[in-house]
Amino acid sequence: MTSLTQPNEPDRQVVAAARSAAWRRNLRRMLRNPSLVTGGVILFVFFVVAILANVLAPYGGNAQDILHVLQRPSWAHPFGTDSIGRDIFSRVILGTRYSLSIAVLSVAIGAVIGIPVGLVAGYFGGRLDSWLMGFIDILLTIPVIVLAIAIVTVIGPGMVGLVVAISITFAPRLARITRGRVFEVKEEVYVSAAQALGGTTRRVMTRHVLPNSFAPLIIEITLRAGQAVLVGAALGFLGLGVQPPTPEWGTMLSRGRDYLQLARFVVIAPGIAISLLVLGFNLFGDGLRDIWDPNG
Amino acid sequence: MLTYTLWRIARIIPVALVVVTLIFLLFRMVPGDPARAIAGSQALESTVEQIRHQLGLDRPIYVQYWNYLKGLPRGNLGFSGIYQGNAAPVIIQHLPPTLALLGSSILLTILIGVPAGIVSALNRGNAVDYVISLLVVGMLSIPNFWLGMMLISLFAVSYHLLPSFGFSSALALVLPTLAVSARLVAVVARMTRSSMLEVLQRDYVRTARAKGLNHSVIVYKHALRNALIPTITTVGLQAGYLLGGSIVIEQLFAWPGIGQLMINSVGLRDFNMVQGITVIFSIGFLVINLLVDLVYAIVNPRIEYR
Repeated sequence: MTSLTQPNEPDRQVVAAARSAAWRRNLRRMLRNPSLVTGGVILFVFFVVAILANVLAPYGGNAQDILHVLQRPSWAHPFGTDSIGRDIFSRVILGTRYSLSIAVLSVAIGAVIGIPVGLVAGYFGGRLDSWLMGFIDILLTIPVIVLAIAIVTVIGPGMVGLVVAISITFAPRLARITRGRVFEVKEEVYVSAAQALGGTTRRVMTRHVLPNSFAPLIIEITLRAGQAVLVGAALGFLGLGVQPPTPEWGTMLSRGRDYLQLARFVVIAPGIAISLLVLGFNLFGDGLRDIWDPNG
Repeated sequence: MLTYTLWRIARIIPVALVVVTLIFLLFRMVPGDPARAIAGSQALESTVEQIRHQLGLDRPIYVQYWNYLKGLPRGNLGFSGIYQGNAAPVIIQHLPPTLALLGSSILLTILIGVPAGIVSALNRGNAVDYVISLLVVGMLSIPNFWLGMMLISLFAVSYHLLPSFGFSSALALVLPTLAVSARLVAVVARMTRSSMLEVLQRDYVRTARAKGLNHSVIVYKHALRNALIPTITTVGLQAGYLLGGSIVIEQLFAWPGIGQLMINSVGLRDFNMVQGITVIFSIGFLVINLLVDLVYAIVNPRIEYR
């Protein structure tokens, strides 16, 4: 059996060469897509800033300078200072970590729960599929923010509650997309071939069906990551997300309304930071969609 | 059409039942003693015991669940410790401002989103299309509450043109509506654009062109009607965002609707009120989708009424 499925050495070289040629073609197409490149650059910058946040931030996130509260932007404080004299520039830089962690963690957990459910439902079909999808459709009737607020109410506000809440709202959405894609892929000839060659169900599912379903999933995950940033910031704004004094962007905006009259700059930078990060995810996701799924 | 309507309404009931069950179970996981939460931390143990008995919290969870379900058709959404009574009348009292905000947001979304999508599709590839597409991506990326702050800062603080809080006049609706609907406008414009582009390539449009029909007749009569169908579905799918977005925006604009009631109740640890509002929002989502399906059935004559 193994001799049938394992290619010999020359075959392997041909396959490897074809693969790397396909990769180069793919890469060239990606570099020609303005959305993808712009989104990619934005995301890259945010990731670098998050990693180097401690080095880049000129002041500590909670370092107060009581003599200089609500200072307008200046060379010493490029984005100004807040109501208790903290440097907004430093807090925005440090905040990158929280928003990115929220996005990455909640989307990853949502994917770990949602993708297997969608894979199983789509692959086996039948009654199992209709039960699972029926249940998922019901979960989808609870609006994201409403469900997130309800979950945070139960678990308690904070980073953990936030990530759990967002991933629980995303999992059924990812399950639905996976299931739809798996439904198409499992009818392909290579899947029948793998089954005919005696591949176990698990092997066919994980080695053939799942990898060929990745394109729409990665698009969805990228766009969902942007949404996770928005939901996390919204809950922070409502006082239900990451708690002060943590420099999370949404939390920084939660008392922002009070400053619109006297110190508008307090709310400008965190809002632009959120918008740019979400824009990065959106452009990147749209670019991937242009390349992989032009009719989608 | 009537049978279809009735069938769609009947289909909501089991879904609503499961949703209510899930929400009920979720809120049973709140840590701490609900009776103690209602009585307050200073209350005597005997008072807590009395409240626990009165609300049936000393009975097994399936009895509590059954009593909750039995109460729903009679409009009993659970006991609010803060309002010392049924949560339902309080929620109903807060409903009109929220409905006004949702209604005006949907209206604005259709009035701006659909024409923007058409203009974008008809100018495919040129500067107009490019600018509209950029605006769409931008509006999808800006958090609605921050957009709201910027609107307040511009129109209420700098120029004193529009009120920035409260539910006092029709003018007070303008800014919150803009903040809620920006994202929806973008989603609808994008959907209308792509479905217009698809429809404009169809055979019947080419036939209409070949017959020498007027350009605007082709666009508005032949293409738009068909292109609107996916757009309507999109509005239904975005109902969840609409309801959630209204919560955040109500908080920002001190809008006295159920979103603000919900956030205040979370702060006051009035869990039955939060649970009741979660149920109302979920059922609201089902109702909006029911309405969307009915509009869909009217617009698309091919749909089968079962």
